[in-house]
Amino acid sequence: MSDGTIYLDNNATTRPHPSVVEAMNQVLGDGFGNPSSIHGIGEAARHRVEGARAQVAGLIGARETEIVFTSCATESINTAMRGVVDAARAERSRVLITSVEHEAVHDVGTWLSSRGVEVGVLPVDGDGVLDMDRLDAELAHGPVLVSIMLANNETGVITPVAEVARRARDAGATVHVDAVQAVGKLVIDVETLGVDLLSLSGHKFHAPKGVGVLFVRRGARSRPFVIGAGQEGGRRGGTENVPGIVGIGVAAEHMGSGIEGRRTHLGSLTAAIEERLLAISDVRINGAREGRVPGTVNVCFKGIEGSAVVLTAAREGVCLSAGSACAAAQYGGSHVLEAMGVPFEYLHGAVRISCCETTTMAEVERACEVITRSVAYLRTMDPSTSLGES
Amino acid sequence: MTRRLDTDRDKTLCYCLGVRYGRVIDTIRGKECTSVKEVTRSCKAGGGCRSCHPEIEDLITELREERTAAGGIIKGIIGRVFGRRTGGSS
Repeated sequence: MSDGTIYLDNNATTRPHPSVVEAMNQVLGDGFGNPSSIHGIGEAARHRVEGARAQVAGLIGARETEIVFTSCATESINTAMRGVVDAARAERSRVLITSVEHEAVHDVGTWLSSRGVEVGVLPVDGDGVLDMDRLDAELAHGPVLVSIMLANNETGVITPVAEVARRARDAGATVHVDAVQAVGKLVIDVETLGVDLLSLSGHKFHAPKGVGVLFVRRGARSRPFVIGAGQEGGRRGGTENVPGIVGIGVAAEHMGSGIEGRRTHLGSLTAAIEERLLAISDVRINGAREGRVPGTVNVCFKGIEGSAVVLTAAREGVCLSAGSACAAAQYGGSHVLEAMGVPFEYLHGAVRISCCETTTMAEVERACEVITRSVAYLRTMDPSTSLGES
Repeated sequence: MTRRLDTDRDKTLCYCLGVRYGRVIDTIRGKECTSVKEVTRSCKAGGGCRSCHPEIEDLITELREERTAAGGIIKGIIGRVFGRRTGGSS
């Protein structure tokens, strides 16, 4: 960044792409119309929204009519999960999620559970990989919905979504996918994935905050969550966030192109980070070595607090995260790492480094130097390093 | 069919593991893979979200046909050289 800060917290949020900012500024200037208005200014706003809808549909191989704009991925997830259960309420009331889902999914699961819905939680192994045998066993109970993530926000581990979707749909379940962390790193095609609903968040891929997407396959049984004046074809009430929608459209088009080059670049950065950090003693990289989206490294340092590393690095201008940013203010270890069985003495020492397409090799090299120094410093300060195995 | 095998070698087939068509084709040919599982075990392709499994299955089928055709030609040549029927297609 221009002030010398090194930003490696892109799984928390990304900087809006310049083309996104430019497009949004135009809308904020003279594109203020309400898309529901029938005069010229309203019509211009409507055209912009529909243009963005086509761009987002293009990113995930969907029809334009299957794209619903929301305020964020959390709203998309609420709409998907609650909407499917609501639509099927009289018939079945069982939902399946995994132990490594984002808090948005877990918390909706808890809410559904409090209202009498059975919520099954599928385990993962030590690499964060889903237990497919347990999936089959749980599918035998006939869930109405299976909600899984494509790429984990903390570790980057990829879920075999296409296989899960095939089995789940064979069992008669509707499939929702949280694809928030996969945009621009994987090719997301709703046809080849075979999913019914899919959630995206604008600010995770260089669009602004305040805008998200829910893909709803034509014919999928779901009901709206935000009820209002019939916007989005009656699937999400509320006046459209036109600047945000235009921004997510431009970002979708940008992220849908150049994916191979982006992957290669992020892969090089990931390899460099892992090589440098594995040189530190008592360290472990979390998640399968293969089968992770490039650009995310989740590392645990034994005997120290990850948040202490983050704060120490921040003083030297390096922005990191201790696990999920959404849970940074909560006390306790990561539920994802806990589900993976990360040993207690490592669990609280988690640091997440997440890159984006503009991250440079020089930045990650500098960041790794700072992290290495921070860990060494904290280990001299923290008495717990003298406990347990060395 | 031929176009993909000949020209798409540098395109990515499995984005999750970053494996290109060329690598998958060479793996199927070299190890005579007959299932996606064998391909994944050998070159990792298909080990992520698994949305590329149908594509890998198509390649396995195409390359099996290629092998079968090549085998038929060889059998035909052997038949002509040795003046006897081999039973293979020519």
